[in-house]
Amino acid sequence: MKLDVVEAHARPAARAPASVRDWPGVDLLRRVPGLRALLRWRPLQFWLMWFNLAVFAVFLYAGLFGSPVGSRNIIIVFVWILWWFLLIALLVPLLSRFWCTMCPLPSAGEWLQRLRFIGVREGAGPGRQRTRMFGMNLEWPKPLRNIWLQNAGFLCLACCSALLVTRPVVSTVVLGGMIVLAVALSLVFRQRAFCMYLCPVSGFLSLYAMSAATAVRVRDAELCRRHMEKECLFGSREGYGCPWYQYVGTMTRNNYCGMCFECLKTCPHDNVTVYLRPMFSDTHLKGVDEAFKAFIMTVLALAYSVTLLGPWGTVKDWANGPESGQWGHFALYSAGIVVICLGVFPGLHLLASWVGRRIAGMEASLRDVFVRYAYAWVPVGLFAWIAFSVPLIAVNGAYILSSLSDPLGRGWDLAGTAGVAWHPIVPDRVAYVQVPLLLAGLWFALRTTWSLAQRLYPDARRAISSVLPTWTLATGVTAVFVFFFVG
Amino acid sequence: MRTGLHEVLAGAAVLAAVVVPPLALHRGPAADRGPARVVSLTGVKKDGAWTDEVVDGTNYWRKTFRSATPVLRRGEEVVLRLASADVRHGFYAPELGLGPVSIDPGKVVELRFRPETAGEYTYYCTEVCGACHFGMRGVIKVVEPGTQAETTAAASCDHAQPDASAAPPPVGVARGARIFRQRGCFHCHGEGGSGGVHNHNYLAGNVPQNNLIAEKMGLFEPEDAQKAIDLLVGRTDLDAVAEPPFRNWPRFVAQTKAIHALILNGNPAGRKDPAGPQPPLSMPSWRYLLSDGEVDDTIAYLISQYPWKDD
Repeated sequence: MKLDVVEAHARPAARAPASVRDWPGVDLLRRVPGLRALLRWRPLQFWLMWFNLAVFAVFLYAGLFGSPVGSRNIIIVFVWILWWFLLIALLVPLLSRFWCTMCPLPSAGEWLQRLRFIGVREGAGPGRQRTRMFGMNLEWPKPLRNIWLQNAGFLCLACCSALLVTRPVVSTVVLGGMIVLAVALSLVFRQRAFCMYLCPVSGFLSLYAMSAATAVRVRDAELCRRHMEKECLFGSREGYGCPWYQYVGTMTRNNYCGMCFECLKTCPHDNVTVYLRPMFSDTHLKGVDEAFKAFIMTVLALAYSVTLLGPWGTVKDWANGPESGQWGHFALYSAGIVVICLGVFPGLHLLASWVGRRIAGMEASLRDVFVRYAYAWVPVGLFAWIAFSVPLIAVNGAYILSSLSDPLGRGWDLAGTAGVAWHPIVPDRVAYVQVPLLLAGLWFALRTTWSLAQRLYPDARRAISSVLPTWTLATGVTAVFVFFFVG
Repeated sequence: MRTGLHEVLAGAAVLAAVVVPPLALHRGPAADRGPARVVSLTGVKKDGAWTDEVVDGTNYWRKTFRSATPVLRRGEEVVLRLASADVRHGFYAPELGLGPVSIDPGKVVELRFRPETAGEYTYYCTEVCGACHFGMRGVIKVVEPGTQAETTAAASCDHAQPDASAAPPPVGVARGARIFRQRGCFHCHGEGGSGGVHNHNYLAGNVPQNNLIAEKMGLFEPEDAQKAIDLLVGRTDLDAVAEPPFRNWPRFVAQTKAIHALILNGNPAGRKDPAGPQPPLSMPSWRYLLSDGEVDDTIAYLISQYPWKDD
């Protein structure tokens, strides 16, 4: 049977694996009473989105009409301090892309496409969909079926981060703009095109979801292969076909599963479940675009550590160029970040891959080695981001309580916590948390790339030769992080 | 039908989610201040202003704010709500007995008072908050009940700032002039140091006039003043000068060193009445903002501003 959507959107390596998982997992839907019923309950996603939409409305209003001071405006404090910490340090490592389940950004677009908030609109839809969809329902252009646009978008936002995370109105414009873009794209393209190919947040979620301790998978891949109706893909009266263009029957990675649980609702054989599994169980990057996402995220963790936490006032001034009118310095700062993200760091990784391949033997292509070992930067980058976020929440956490009572910074005291004075929490001990985190990231990187090397070179000596330069680079980068955080 | 009802209810819930929270925030919590008249002033660093306008994300970056001139009736009860739109400011209206109080962003300080005497009362910012700090003041007018008074807005800080696109002038008197404007010295000492503003309960009454320092230095001839300027902008070590170039050389050297130290170290204004309030304006320290060369250029500029008479 030809699965047109899968054929169109899945990456080649994702086709028909022998097994959808090669890791030990606990079937949570069988273990946790009530969880299956909860995840199959159609209104669940609606109410999660609804709650976040209401919160988001507060944020957007506060960004426009609240205090221009970032630390006194709830949009800055809750989005860039609290949400970011919860997302990167807890939600992604534990629950994969569960944020996408409740993200308010694409909610309006999705409701508009379906012309339903909760229910299913049965009928012939675009392609082989069995649910009707409003809008043009065009397919996303083939050359753009990758995460390069997300990489570019995230890099652009990162260059302007000094403004984004300090000026409430800029945050409102960017986040509000993303809602408008998501709605516009939902009227033109099929399903979650914005989330899949454009959303800058989705880009790094897709990368770091590989680390997650939970995963949506099928219990029996053979059952899916034999089952012809593919409701998980094309929808049924129980739910919609996968809005993320994924076929759960062959899905081996978390990257592009938005955890909407539509497949769980539509599967007539109850073959879809949520597994609890070891961290970093997904170990394959499947394209240069994903490898570059790993480079970009690692470099940005470093750049933010230098800019926001470092003692170098000049770097802060350059990053803050748009506010001070020093556009030349800002251009230099941005260009520096872009060159390191897209040139210097990938160049170092390419060199390490090239040296490893030269030492170990030339059977594997340089591209294969380059992409395969780029996985090292997934754990290194993720734990560097967590290590970066720890002082962020420890130092600025007090603002969360005061913003809760005074979301607009107008001197209100709604919950009696406005008077909480700024007080950093154990700033002198943060390094004791950061260093183990960085070392954990390095350990996961070494362990996973060793496993990848063994698959590439069955001979242990050649395997270790091939991966040794990448290990050296990963260790060096981790040492640089330790220097910045502790030195 | 049941599905339809669910969808309608869900739609209503979505509408409520996007409308109700902003509306609730827009209204804000009710505050009971009794019959008192409420006057709100918000400190804005970038413009050096205490504005009575609402300052938020939509206007802070694009609008130029000016200090407000609240007009009050003698004898009425007033609640002055003070807020900051950006950094810590200090509010002080010594003649009305208000402050000094620090105003942090996100915190509102309310001062309740009843003006008993008609007049014009200057208010100040007492925390060095930015480049426009020294001009951050305005006037509260108190009028007799039943009379009208004009509410005039103060000048904005834009007038104080030199053209940012202009290339920095070379060392010398021109740079001293630029510093005198850019650092806001003229706000207290007057244009070209020509006359200081009133400083409540200050020993000398007004902030010292600067353009007469040539006289204090013993520079009684324009030629001597020019030589002194040349020495200062030429970075000459005054202690190493073997042959005094003009009369009153020791006096000039001592005065130059004293003024230089005063600029670097600052000096709190002395009280005329020791039991009275602290004068609102004091000489700040420029030690970490100006180099020795910049201080010398500024002194040279002030020497050049002496109003020589033709005879």
